[in-house]
Amino acid sequence: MATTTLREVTTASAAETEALGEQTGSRLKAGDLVLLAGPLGSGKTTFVRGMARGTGSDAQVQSPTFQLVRIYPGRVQLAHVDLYRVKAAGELADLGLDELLDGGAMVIEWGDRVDLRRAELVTFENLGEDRRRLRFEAEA
Amino acid sequence: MILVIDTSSARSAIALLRPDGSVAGEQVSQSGPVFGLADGVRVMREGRPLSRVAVATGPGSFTGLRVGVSFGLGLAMGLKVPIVPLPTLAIQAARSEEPVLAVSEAGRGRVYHLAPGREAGLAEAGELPQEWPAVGWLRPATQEALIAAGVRMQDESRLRTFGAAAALVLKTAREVAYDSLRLEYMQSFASKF
Repeated sequence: MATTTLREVTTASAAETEALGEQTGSRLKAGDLVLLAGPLGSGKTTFVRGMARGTGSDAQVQSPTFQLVRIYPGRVQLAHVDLYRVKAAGELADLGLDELLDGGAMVIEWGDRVDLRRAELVTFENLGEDRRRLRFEAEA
Repeated sequence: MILVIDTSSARSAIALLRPDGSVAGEQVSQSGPVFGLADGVRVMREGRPLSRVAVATGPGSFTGLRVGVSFGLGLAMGLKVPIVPLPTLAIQAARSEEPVLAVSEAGRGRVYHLAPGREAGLAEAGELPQEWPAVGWLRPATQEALIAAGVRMQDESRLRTFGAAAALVLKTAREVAYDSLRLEYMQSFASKF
């Protein structure tokens, strides 16, 4: 899978990470897909909280680790998917992700576990304390 | 009576067939899988006993298939009658006496398709074979895209009804065990597990 790095940003606080997410969310349209990669505690859910606000949703964002999928209605519907607990291809098929992408935009935590083209990939790195490095790439 | 359910595509349909395959009643909604399925079946059935339940198993909508198949399966299990899977595209193909390209809504501008003598596939409007007129239930925007790409939609007045087509497909369809129904839907998310 070929990727092009678009930019790298270092944030100094959770608020800054969330603001970057809001920028991403504000330009989302139905059918858009954003994959998030990075270890636990690296800011993925914080970023999604910003994304949801960027789509105009006032829904409360939580990690969908146990629910697998949460839906935030907004200017464009945002489906928040977490693949941390998904262990098999059959479980992935049972999530109906294609149909969710048909009805809105989608962000997938642990998104590096799916092989998919035409997505934006954001990789999170924990630099210690509240500092995070976010690398934005486009998969083509 | 045989109950036929198809909630796999851009319209939903139910039909009630007599043992000889003639259509006792049918209803096709103008929208997708969410409609009064249970009420529709109850009204159409008028308390008459069911000997079989047939359900469309796709390819089609992830949610739609689950609505129709879970309802049909629950009914069949409760009544202890056989369940018969019907391929969505075979039903649409059977609506025409002439060879046609059967199509079904796949979302995001794509359609499932089945051409005579070929394997079923998935394509965008511009990639569809154009040797045959097309038959199937698509969203208005998808159908417009097909027409814009040069696909001819078969005239509805030349087609069999849903119930009559399902009766034809049922002639060669076989019942399956309750736990072995297989649904077909889009799975473009490949895992790296």
